[in-house]
Order: sequence, then C-alpha cells, then structure tokens
Amino acid sequence: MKKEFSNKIYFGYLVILCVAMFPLTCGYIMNGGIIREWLVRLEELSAATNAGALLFPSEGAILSGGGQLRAMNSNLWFLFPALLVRWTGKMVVGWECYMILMQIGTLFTAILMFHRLFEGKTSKYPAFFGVLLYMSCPYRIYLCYDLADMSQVAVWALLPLYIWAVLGIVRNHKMSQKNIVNLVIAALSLAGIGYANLLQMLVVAGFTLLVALCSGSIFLLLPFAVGSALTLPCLLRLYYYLFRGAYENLGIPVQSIMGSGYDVGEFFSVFVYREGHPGFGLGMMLCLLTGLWLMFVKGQRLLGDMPVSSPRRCCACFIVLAAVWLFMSLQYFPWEYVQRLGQWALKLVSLLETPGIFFGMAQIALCVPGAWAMERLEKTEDKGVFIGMAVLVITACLGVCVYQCNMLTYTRMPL
Amino acid sequence: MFLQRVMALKLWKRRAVRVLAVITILLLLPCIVKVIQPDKIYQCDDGYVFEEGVPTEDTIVYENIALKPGVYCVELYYDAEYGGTGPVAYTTMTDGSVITGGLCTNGEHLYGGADQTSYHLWLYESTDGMQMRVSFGGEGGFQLLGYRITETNQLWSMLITIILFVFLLLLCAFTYHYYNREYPVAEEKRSAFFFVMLIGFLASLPYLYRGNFPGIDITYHMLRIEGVKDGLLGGQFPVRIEPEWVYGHGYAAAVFYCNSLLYFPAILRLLGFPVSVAYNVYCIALTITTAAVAYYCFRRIFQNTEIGLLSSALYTLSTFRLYKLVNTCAVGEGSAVTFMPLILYGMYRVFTEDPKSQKYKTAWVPIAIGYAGLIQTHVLTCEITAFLTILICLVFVRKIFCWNTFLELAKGALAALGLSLWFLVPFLDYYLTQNVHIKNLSARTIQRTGMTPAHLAFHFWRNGIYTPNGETGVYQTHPVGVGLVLIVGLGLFAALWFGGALRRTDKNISRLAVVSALFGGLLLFMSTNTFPWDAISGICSLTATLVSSLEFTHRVLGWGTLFLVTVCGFCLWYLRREGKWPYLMAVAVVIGCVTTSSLYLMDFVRSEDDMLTLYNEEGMGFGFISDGEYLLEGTKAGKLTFEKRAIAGAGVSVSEYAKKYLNVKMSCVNAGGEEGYVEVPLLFYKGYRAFDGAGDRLEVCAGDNHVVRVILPEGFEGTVEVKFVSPLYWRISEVVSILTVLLFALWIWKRQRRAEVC
Repeated sequence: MKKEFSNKIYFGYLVILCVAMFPLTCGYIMNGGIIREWLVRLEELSAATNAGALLFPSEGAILSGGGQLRAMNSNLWFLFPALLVRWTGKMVVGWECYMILMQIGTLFTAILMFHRLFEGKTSKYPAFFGVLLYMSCPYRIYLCYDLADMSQVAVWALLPLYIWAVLGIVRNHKMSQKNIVNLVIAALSLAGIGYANLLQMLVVAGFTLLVALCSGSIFLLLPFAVGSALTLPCLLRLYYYLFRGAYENLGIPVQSIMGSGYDVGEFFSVFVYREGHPGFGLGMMLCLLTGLWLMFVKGQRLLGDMPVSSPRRCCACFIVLAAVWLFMSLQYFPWEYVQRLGQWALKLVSLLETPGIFFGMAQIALCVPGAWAMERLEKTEDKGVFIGMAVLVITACLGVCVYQCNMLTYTRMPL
Repeated sequence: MFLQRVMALKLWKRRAVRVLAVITILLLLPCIVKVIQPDKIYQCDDGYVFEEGVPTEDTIVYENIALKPGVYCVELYYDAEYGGTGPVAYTTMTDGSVITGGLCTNGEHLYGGADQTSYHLWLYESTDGMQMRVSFGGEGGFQLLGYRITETNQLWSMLITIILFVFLLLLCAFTYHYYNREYPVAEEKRSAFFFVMLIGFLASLPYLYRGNFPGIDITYHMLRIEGVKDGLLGGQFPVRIEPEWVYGHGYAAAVFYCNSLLYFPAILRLLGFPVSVAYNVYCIALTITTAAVAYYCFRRIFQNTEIGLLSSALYTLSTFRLYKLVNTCAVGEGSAVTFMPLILYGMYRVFTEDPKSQKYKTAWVPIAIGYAGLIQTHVLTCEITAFLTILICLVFVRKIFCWNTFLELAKGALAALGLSLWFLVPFLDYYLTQNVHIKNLSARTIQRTGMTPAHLAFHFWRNGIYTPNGETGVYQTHPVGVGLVLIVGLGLFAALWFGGALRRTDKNISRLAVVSALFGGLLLFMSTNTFPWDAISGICSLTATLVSSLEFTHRVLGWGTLFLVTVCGFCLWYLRREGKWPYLMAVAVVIGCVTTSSLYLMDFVRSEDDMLTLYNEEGMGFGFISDGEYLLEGTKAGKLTFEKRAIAGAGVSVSEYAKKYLNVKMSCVNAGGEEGYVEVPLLFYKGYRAFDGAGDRLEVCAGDNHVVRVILPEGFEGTVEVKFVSPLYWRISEVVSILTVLLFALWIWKRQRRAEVC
C-alpha cells in the first residue's frame, strides 16, 4: 500500500518534469530573451579558440552577445553543452541537453530539499506539493524559456541542493560524518551558484549569514566561508568591475532599477505578464490562500502546530525571507538610496538589472509555506475538501505551466 | 448586543491595543506638527522670453529650485499673445536628483486666454536641483513673468489618513481576535467574511497597479471626482456645478449625473492623494461592497452561505462588470451594478414572503436602498430597472392587489424617492426648464451596436479595440457579453426545467429561477443585433428618445448578468440537494470558469504598456465633456477656453476682475448712456445670480455662446459679484432627503432595540 502510494508520487514527479520540458519538444532553440548571449558564449567555448576565455567569456564575446551586465557569470556550467556542441556540431543539441539536465537536476534537488524539509512527517504530500510548486513556478519557466537566462536556470537547480545541505547542518548541531557531507555539499553548491550567477550567490550568502547569526548555528559559517573561497575568481572579477574600471571599459550602463520593479498587482497575474514580471501562479495562490483559510476560518495555528524541531523554524524563516524578498522586488523599494552608498553600490545595483530576481527568490521561499498549508489541509476532517483542493492545485500548477509553455512556443520564432 | 460585547472587551486595557495606540500617536504627532506649521512660499519674479515663432521642447526656464518633501502648488505667471482656444505651451517640473517616483506631477498646459496657471506636485525627497521646463508651441509672443511655489500641508494630511487607516485596520483585527476568544464567531460567518474579501480582492486586482488602465471614460469620471473636489473648495455643498470643467466655465454634470458616491474619492483628493490613487481606492471599495452586497442578497435568497458566495463570485467577477468598471472605466454604470442585487432581493421578498408575517414589513428596505443607489449612480440603469420592475409587477399582478404587498412596494418607492430627492429635484428642474443638449439626442440608432450570439458566450476575453458596431463582428471587440459560465448555467436550467426537476423544488425559489431565466433570456436577446431596436426607435419621438438614450444595446446586460447569476445560483442550489458529487462538479466548473475567464481578462487588461498615471487634475485638461450632453443646446464647445477677463459690452469698462471657481468679483462702470452688459466666463445655467455692492440683485441672462451676461443699468458704477446660488426648492429637497435618512436611521435603531428586548 505504502509502495503504491510512493509510486503515485513518483509518477507525479515524472508528469511535472514532462510538463516543465514542453518547450524542448520543439526541437529548436527559441529566439528571444538573452539566448543570443548564451549562444555566443557556447560558440566561443566549443571552438576553444580563445585561450584563457574558458572560465569567463572574452571581452569580444561579451560585447557581441550584448551580455555586459552578466559578464561576471562564468562559463563553468556551460562546459558540458559546449563539449556536446563541439562533438556534434549542432548548437541545438547543446541547448536541449543542457536544459534537459537542468530540469532533471532541478527536480532531483527539489525532491531532496522538500523531502528533507518535511522529513519525519507520515505524509509525502507536503514534499510533493513543494516540488510541484517549485517546478511549475512561473518565474522559473520564465527564466528557462522566456528570458532564457541559462545561468539563473543553474541557480534554480542548485539552490534547493544548498537549502537541503543547510537544513542538514542546522539540524545536526554536532560535527558528525553526515554533517561533514552536508557541509561539503553546501559549500560546493554555494560555489556552484556563485559560478552561475555571482550576485545571486552574494544574496544567498548574505541571507545565510543572517540566518546563522539569528539561529546561532555556527556551522553555517563554514560553508559560507568555503563557498566564498571557492568562488574567488568570480569575486576577484567583481572586484575589478566595481573598483578597477573594468565596468567602464566594457561600457556597462549605470542604471536605476527601481522602475523595473514589480507592482503589487503583478504578483497576482496568472495568464499574462509584463516583460520580466510573472506572478505567483494560480497553484501558489491557491496554496497560500489555503493556509490563510486554515488560519482565519479554521482557527489553526499553522506554525504553532508544526513539529518543535527545525521545520517549524524553517517555515517561519521562509515566510520572513519571502516577505523581505517580495518587498525588495517592488518598484517602491528604494534601490536608489542603496546606490547612493558609493560608486561601487551604484554599479552593483546596476548589475542586478531588475529587482525581479528577488521575486524569484521569494517564490522559492513561498513554496515551503504553500506546501505546508496543503499538508495541514490534509489533516482537516473533511477529506473531500483536501482531495478537491489537491486536484485544483495540481490542475492549476500544471495547467498554467502548460499555458505558459504553449504561449512561449507559439510566440517565439526558431533561431 | 454586538456593541455591548465589544465594549465589554475593554480594549483600552489590552496591552496590544495600548501599544498600537502609542505607536499611532507617536507617528501622528510629527505629521500634526507639520500640518499646523505655516506653509512656506517660494517666489521668483525673473522673466523668461521665448522667441516668437520658434517652437521649443522642454526648455529649462528655472532651475536649482530647492524644496523639502511636501505637496506643493506651483503657480506660473505668463503673458501670451495667442488668440486661439488651445494651449500655447506646456510646463512641468523635473528633477534628476530625486529617486524614481520621488517627484510626481503631470504638469499643466498654459492657455492663451489666461495669464497664469497652477498645478500640484508631490515631492517625497528634499532637493535643490529641481527644474521648471516649458515646451512652447511657437505661436505668438510668449514670455514668463515668474513663479510662486506654495507649500500645502497635504503630504502630512495624506500621511495622517494612511496612519489612521492602518490603525483602524489593526484595531479591527485586534477587536476580532479578542472578540472571537470571548464570544466565538461561527465558522460559517468567518468563512463568509474570508471569501467575500477574497472575491473583492480578486476583482480589485486591476487597481493594485500604479496608474490606471486608460479606459475610454476614465478622464470623464476623473473630472467628475475633481469637479466634486473643486466644488467643495468653491463652497458648494452639495456640488451642483463642477467649477473648473470646460475651462473654468462650470459644467452642470453633477445635476444630471449624481455624484453622491464620488464624495469619497473627492475627500481623498482634498486630503492630498493623487487623483489616480483616489480613483483606485474608490474602485476597490466599490468592488468589495459589490461582493458583500451580492453575497448578502444571494445568501438570503438561497438560504445557503456557499451558494451566496459562489453567486457573489459570479456576479462580482462577471464579464459585464469587469468590462464596465475596468475596461471602459464607466464608474457610474459600474457603481450601479453594486445596487442591482438589492432590488432583485427586495422584489423576491415582496412577491414570495407571507404578507401577513411580521418579517414582511421590512421587505421594502432593499428596494428603497437599491433604487436610491441606482438613481444616485446611473440614471440610465435606473430607467432599465424601472422598466423591468414594471414587467415583474405585471407578471405578479395578482399579488400587487394584496394591500400589504402594495404597501411594501409603495414604501420602497417613496423611501427611494425621499433619499434621492436632493438629486431628483435639480435634475428634473434642469431637464424640464433648460434646453440641454441631451434632450436633443433622439437621432441615435443603436441596433448596429448589438452583439452576435458569439459575443454573449465568449469566454477568453481580452481588452479588444472595438465596441460592437455591426462591421467587425467579434473581431477584436471589447469584452461585451455575459460569459460562457452563465450561458452554461442557463442551458442547465433549461434542461432541469424541461426535465421536470422544478416540480420537486421549493415553489418560491423555482418561480424566481423561472422568472430570472425568462427575463435573462429576453435581455440577452435585446442585447443582440437581431432585436428590432431601429423599428422601435421609429415608432414615435418618445421611443426614439428612449432608444437613443441607451446608446448601446449592451447596457441591458447588467440586468441580464444578474438574472443569469440567479439562474446559476438556482442550479447550484438544486444540485446541492441532489448530491455531493454533482454539486462539487458544478462548483469546480464555476471556479474554473471564473478563473479562466475573469482572471484571464483582468490579466490582459493590465498587461497593456500605456498605463495612465494622473496625479493632478491639470494633467488631463479641463475640456473633455464626451458628447457635451449637459451643455446648453447651441453652445459651441470649441470656442470655450480660459479667459483672464470679463467681456464688457459697449460703454462698459471692467477693472479688478477676479474669478475663483464659480464666484466672480469685478468693478464695472457703465458710461454708455444706456443699459450695458458684462459677460463672465461661466456657462449660463439656471441658478446664477449677480449682485451689486449694496447686495441688490442685477439681471442676468444668456450671453454670447451661452455664458453668463450681467445687465448693468445706465450709469452703473460699482462692484459686481456673480455666484451660483441653489434655488430654495432645491434646498428644501435636500432637507427632505436628510430627514428621510434620519427617519431611516431612527427606524433601524428602534427595530434593533426591539429585537434586543425580545
């Protein structure tokens, strides 16, 4: 019986994966977003003609691909697709394989994260809904296929792994063998995020530091330090950008990002979004509303009812993080005050391009309370309500994901 | 009872409430100090001369203006040699040193007929680098004479309002928390509140953006809001003539188009909120009220919370309502939609409840409030409602002969009349005595604006470009229809009816459903291009006027939607009795349809890039009057523009001319040896009076292009004051309305007292 239930869950994961890979079935690379920048990088990497430009793209590639603002992102995660391109001579093979691996990797790390987050629970529902929300997240789909930011795609695959490892560290307060593995994986995944997108690594590291200080978990400082050390080449590159004139040499524009922040209403858009601003998605909204409904109507203390150990603190922590990140993603967040801290801040905030990346991070954080709300719903007396809501959430998540993928493939020309 | 319980909670002794109160006071204090402080004035008398015939774009005329955060009134003085009616230049303030959104203003046009202009700006950060820019069209000589920037306390009054609102919100939350602990609130009630708020929130999503969707009517209704604000500032209450409209000539829109609900956004404007914010807040409040009213009515009709909520969702998120309120920004019609369920509920009670019961004596209340609401929001919808009420009364004609039933209907009608008399008397007065343009609009035919059946059942609506016009079919039309889900509901009801299911149900509810289905179907037919509107229009002048006043056939879909929601509510009610699964399936269909149709439409509405963000009224101009329905017939609107002086007749000289809103003061001398006149830039509506320095009345009449002309006797010398004075019978009607409200409140209070005693 238990195995049958597990099989259903695994089948569910397979369906989620298939839906998230819909645009790959086109068999071509879709035009749009910043895909050209990635292609230029891949071309340069696969040709390997430009010695010394292996880890980072050459200046020529940056300028021809128009990726000045993302010049600090390394090529590390593109080595494999570059090799494939070199072997097959087809760019589309590199893209397809990279995306397939990233989708599978994201699914795998998301399963790890949510199962650890809700481990010890008799039900696998919260983990399943967490993975569903994460994989079908409109912002993730937007990054994968609309913006086509291959670096951030890697971040979204690595972040759950990092959280998984950090959770392990937080829960095991002593230096055991298991914890060493957690420490190593946390440090590596943080470094991996840094090589994919340094600015996001800085945000993640900063908040990790904050969590470490708040929770008093001294072990968290270790992956932070090791991860930062491993990304030294990227950090040095950032240093040259911010303090040594490399920024100006590449002609990167100094810009205000406040205007490209979210409007409150955009959080709730479902079927259509202004450029770069997808909303929560219907599934996420349903889950969060379920949580609110349980609290307000049923009088449940959602956080209070959680196990006393880490999940309760984690869930509260993710809600706080989500709130902070959502606020930072708004067009009302005063980024221009931050930019007045100095020339380095002016450039650093410009490199963020859009506060929208904080909305993406808030989405990751919101998957946790969203999944938890579904778990609490299951515990209510009326199973019919839970089944109905579960069907609604699954339909909404997959339906909106299919819609989003279909619309993207429908409106994008092949390259 | 409720109030007694709340008092018994002794909130002021609770720690959380005390902390909240202290924080609120601490936040309020600096704002209050700022409000009390005298306003600062920054003045500059330096001139700037523009070269004649050379157009310029964004010329910086004054720079390095240093200001602290606040809301300021910028006055710019100029001298323009331009005889046209349009603007000669445009001015605004810019500042590259403040953060994005730190300086908000739309600037203002400079008109050739005036010698100064003023507009507001919102500054949220100190600056010393502000610039005043002017774009000059190049026509005639043009020079700036200086500027004056006056600080207002509106930034602080705005902050006080926000702080108090948040305080009240939190206080309500605390009160609920403690109340629920002492006297547990039933889960059903909490659920109802939660979902009504959710429906209201979802339907309000288009207003949670900066700026507004530029619907075709948005400027008109924003000008109405501004009109109420300016009218109040000009000393009118209630506001009858919007003083700044039509380039300061005053427009009688308020007399014909009641603005009682618009006092709320107008007060927000007076408190300092930009017009876009005031508009959005009003629409959100309206939407939540609609959800609550619809829930209340359908909950009472079907005696079930869930069906009340689902019906409320179907109604509040209906295609028609979204089209009216969100797409076209038709605030009047959108507001009327809020009150329609009350009339349906009232009629249901009057014709189904036992006339001998004690409860029956309150059946008139929803009718009274509903009709009063309709009269005071959208007269045209009220006319349609009256027509449908007559039809419903004909259907139940036998019941009307019951004295109690007749009494309830009469009470409802009289109460609605009493509540609306303050508006109806001036409305009828002007309509009967003034030859306004709207009375001469009987030539419009509307059949070509009718819809095809495809429109009615369309599901995935987007913004669209065209109003149905008989030429473009469904192609890119506005979302005009009732939506697929309501048509499916109608189809399901037909199946149930012909299947004989109605025989097994409650007689009253099934009768309501049948009537709703028939009327809903009729209204759907009336909205199509196959209904013989043109033939009806051709019968006589009365039918021509009535049909012409409709303007679009889709106006009947408001009631069409309401009737069809009632039909859907009945289907849900019926399926709920039949079993769990059919009911759950129906609920899923309703939720699915609302999600994929209403949210879809709202998403597309706000995905447009050209959002309209208006801060100050000047940004939208003063001239938009749609078709000029309320102008006096024959007035040439194109000739009206701002005037900096009065026009004197032969032999008359005018000095010390000053105009503020609808009040004009000037010194006149008539040395012509015969009766002379002076014309002031005010449209001559009934109610204007002129007085000399001694307070004696002077004769007024219509002058050139229907402006107010004051007749000056031979040899007249002295001051002349022109102002708008409401006739005495208007004032009496206002007193009657106030008395009706007081009587109504007294009646409710007495009933509650009696209920508590019992």
